[in-house]
Amino acid sequence: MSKVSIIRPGHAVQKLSGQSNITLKTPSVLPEGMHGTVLPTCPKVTQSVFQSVVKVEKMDNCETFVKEEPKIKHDLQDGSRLHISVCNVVSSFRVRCHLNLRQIALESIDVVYRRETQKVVMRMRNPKCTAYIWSSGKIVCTGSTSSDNAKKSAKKFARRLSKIGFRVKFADFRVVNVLAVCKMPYAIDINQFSRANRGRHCSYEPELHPGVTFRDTTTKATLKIFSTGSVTVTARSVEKAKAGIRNIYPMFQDFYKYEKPNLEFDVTDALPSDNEDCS
Amino acid sequence: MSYQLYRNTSLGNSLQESLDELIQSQQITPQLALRVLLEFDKAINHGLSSRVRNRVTFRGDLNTYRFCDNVWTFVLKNTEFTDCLMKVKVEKVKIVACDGRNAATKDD
Repeated sequence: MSKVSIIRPGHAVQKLSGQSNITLKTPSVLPEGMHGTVLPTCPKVTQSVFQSVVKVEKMDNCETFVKEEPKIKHDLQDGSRLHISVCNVVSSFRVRCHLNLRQIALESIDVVYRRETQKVVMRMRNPKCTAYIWSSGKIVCTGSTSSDNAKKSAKKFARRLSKIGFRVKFADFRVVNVLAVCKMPYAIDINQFSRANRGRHCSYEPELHPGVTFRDTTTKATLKIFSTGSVTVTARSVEKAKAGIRNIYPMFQDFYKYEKPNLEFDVTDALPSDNEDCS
Repeated sequence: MSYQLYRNTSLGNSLQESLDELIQSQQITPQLALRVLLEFDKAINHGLSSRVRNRVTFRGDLNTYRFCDNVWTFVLKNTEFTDCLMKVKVEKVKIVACDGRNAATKDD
């Protein structure tokens, strides 16, 4: 009748059945209406907020079930405590002079210049950042993890160019795009969510993309909502990305799959891979 | 026209030295010496691509890299070159690599 399955290795055993019940192995020992606490055996559960109180109920068919209720409930309206990790900041600036790409390619370090693409790709290790340099003097930096780092590395790129001998002026710096990821406390029923929010700002095409694409009108942030509960957001700035997630957070409340909590809020599986194209 | 990359090897350098000597003693003309060097380029490119079967592996930390005009330049640190017989450790090495496949087709 009920199933017990392991969601992730290293995590606690979660129940997956429709009634959200786990069969106890020794049902006859516990008398009717007894309340007991199940001590979590997995250390990760002890640390997490999902420590549960277990209620034992006697059912009609003489099988005892254990019902789990989360002890500390998440505030499902207020998203201010969400852990949002920014994983890419794209910024652009100008150096107010024309650049000889060949000279950059020959004299600078960590550069790739393919003449057919008409730009130089320059990388930096600390802070980690990639710059795309056009001969017009426009430079786009990607790969930073915060807007501070983006500005710092943009200035460092400008300094590198001035050391080669260009008359560089650091101008028009702005953050163009921000990508952030966040994990919701529970998995989300995106089918229901997309049905409830049907409209121009929300689209779900399972054959094209496994997530729901949602546009937040106030911040103009675009959110991709996945059934696991991870949400990726792209916006014009870091603040707008965070505000976008906080705006949408209360809307998930009715669509959570409470039997599938995200124990560790581990966002690593939602992050894009580190392998970047060279060109 | 094949790569003139190997003129700077010990083999190429000694050839250039002997050619210089011959020019100085007026036994050959500079034009002939140039012709010899071009033949040398062709021969060593062909020889390295078709006759050499040895394999050397190396591993190190990439310090900087550069790609310009179809030439990769790498500066490696703490690099260890491993032949089947011996191991050589160097602190810093610069590797200049050209596209061998395109050059081979160009010659044909």
